[in-house]
Amino acid sequence: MRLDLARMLLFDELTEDQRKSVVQHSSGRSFESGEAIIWQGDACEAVFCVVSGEIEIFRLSPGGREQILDRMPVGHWFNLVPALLQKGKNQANVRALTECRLLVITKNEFIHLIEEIPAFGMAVTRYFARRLAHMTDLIESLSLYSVRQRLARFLIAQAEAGGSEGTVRWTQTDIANRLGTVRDVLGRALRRMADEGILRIEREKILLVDREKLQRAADGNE
Amino acid sequence: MTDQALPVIDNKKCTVCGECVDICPESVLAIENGRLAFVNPKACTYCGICEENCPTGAVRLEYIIRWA
Repeated sequence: MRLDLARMLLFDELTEDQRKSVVQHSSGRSFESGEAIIWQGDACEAVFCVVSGEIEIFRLSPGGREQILDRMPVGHWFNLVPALLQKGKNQANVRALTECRLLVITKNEFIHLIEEIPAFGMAVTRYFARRLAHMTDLIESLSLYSVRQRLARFLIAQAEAGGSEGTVRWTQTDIANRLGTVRDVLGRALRRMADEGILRIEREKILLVDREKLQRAADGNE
Repeated sequence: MTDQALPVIDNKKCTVCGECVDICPESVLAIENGRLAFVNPKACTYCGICEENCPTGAVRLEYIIRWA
């Protein structure tokens, strides 16, 4: 498997030898689009890094309702939390959004690498800090903001990312699952914004037209 | 076929139940040779009713989000 190590988070501050050491303790696996990578509740066996393609992390309610926690493009790591817990279980479900290749490091190897390479341990700690900040933002969004505010914030974030943060497109169901609502409610919120001239829904495109109004909607300051 | 974007069908998830065929207001879809097929693609308005009514999530109407 050919790796562009410069694109892999956690490798930023490692020397060339340290990077090689991490890679030597890993293996590669490929997944087809839509294929399950891990399931929530299963015993954690490994941590993963996206080498190509894109993955989606989600949880399911007992009734089958889905909450998308994140989408991760190349260079991002997942399943790190249970790898550091005694008898840790996978915290969420992960599926391949596209055909993708992953770097896989077994739980024991991962812990060994943290112990052996302090710079790798520090990189993991920094990564955890980033993830914690992301999850805190997600909790804030789900618990404190209206669907309209969540939608406005989501649309701005996607447009600002400009496609560089991932190549997979969003369906209205995906957006609803990301924002912790259902498709009907999401559809109404989108249509209302379209009626207000904030955005235009075209074939394959949601075009954000009025940046000022959209920002006010995101701030709850309308 | 047509150059315009069409709903994306995941044939692994599609059970060929025919819900989308029955509900499509423009008769864009049909079942041919045991698979879902676009028989009238130019008529598709990307309205999303097929996606909304697919019981297995096999139909996707995808959007990119960007500034106008």
